[in-house]
Amino acid sequence: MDDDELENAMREGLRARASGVDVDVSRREVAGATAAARRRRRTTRVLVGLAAASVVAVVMTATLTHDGGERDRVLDPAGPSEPALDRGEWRTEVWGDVAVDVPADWGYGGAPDERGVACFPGASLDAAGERVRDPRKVAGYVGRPIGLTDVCASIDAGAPVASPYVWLGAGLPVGTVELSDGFVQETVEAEGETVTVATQDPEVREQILSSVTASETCLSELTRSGPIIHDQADDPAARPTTLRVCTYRLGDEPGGTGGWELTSAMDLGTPALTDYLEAVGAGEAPRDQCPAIDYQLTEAAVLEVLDESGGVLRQDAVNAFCPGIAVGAETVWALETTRMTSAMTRPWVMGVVRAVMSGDPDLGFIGPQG
Amino acid sequence: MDGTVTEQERRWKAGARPSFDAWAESRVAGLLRFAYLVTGSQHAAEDAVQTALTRACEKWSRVSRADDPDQYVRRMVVNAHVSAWRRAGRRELSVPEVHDSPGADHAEVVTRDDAVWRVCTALPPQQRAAVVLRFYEDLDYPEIAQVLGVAEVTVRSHVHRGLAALRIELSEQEEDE
Repeated sequence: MDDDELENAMREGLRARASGVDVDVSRREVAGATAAARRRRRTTRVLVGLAAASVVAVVMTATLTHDGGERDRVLDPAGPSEPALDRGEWRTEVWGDVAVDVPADWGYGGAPDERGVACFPGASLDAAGERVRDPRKVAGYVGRPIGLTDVCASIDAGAPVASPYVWLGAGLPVGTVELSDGFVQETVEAEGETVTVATQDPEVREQILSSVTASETCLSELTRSGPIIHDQADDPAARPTTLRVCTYRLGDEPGGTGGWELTSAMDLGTPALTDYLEAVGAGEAPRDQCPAIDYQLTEAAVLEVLDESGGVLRQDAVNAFCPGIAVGAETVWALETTRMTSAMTRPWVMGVVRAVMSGDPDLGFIGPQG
Repeated sequence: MDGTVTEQERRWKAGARPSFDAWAESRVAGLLRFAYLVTGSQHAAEDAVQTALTRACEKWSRVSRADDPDQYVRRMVVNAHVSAWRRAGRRELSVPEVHDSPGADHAEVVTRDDAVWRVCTALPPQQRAAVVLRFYEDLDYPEIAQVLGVAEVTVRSHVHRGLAALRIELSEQEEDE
């Protein structure tokens, strides 16, 4: 039997076996169970919302107070440092497939998950990614359901609100809720994600919500160990002009694809790219940075080197656990990496990256349990 | 799978996004057959398809924008099964069920088809999925690599091993005859 005959035998054998499947019975079973699951999910989401509104807020070591508002939009000069990036009055924040514009001086924090628990339940970093001691000093914040701290609390709709916020991917039902002190919280669903905005000023709220759109920067999902190639440049010899940072966390939903899910995206300019390329070029030869250690990556970054037209010339995978960078990587998980130095991370570990990745504090990350 | 393209599917391919219900209705039979070949059991196939469709429903706005929603959901089916297999301590979860083949009067064909099934059910889940995607779904190697989340070379290796196992099985069968 030659190879073609063997392949045909496999084809016909599988086709014959598939034709014997009792599809009618199975599709009724599946349709019933899927419909029930959808009903359960809707009910759960509503209950989560109600529970979040009734649970008494846990008393936090860093108590949130409520006399901040949009009027505090400008950072206190005596407060945290100025944002490292000058991108005008608004910046774009990305989560999964969704992008939304927020005031450029808003910081970062947590957002409630499906259980209504947020870590941290307020602003924890300023716009540059520096720690915030007093949430009232932050004009507002962008929260994500990612825990980089063990300071967690249930979000209580009746509790005072320290500052306006945008929550990306929060486990909340779509709808509008009146909070304390004139804050109104509105949740919409877009591109498969929730976007929640709470402000006292309805115009600001409307402006943010009207900016919600599909993200067109980084790949929103990567398979666990699959390829990461993305919008490759037409001309591989084109001049590199921009550094794009895509951060991911490993999905953990039961029954999920178990792949990498996008937590943020940020485009930096040519100076950042130049500094980064120079630092990596001066790096050590690639090697396994974690010999004999069995570990599971849960956060990662892909650094894309872009040409003028936005084509991807090169993608480098960042392993923040065993600090190393795989130059020209084909997958997120690369065994051999160039040892990561602060010169390599300084150009891009700032702002949102410090809000979504823990990593090594010596390299500029927020650090574990930070 | 049935290669007939309906008017509805033509509209979808032209860019109109299908509703989840319309898409699921048109795909569930094909997905169940695919899942049966991957899992080897009708119950496991129902579980895998149900899990995949529930998740696809939750993320439908994202899934429907994918270049190929079918491929996205096939990946979910495979992952649901492989995950269940891993959770069960890498023991086989299902016992292959025997179905009457429509060509039962052609003894040789039936014998050969049975050999195919024996070989497939003996393969590890990811290898079996690669073989099914290649020879039942007619996907090419890069597409299979995307579905399984592995390198293309791994897919080629899986398919090669599946065919090699079938060659041995058929040879032994011939010798017995």
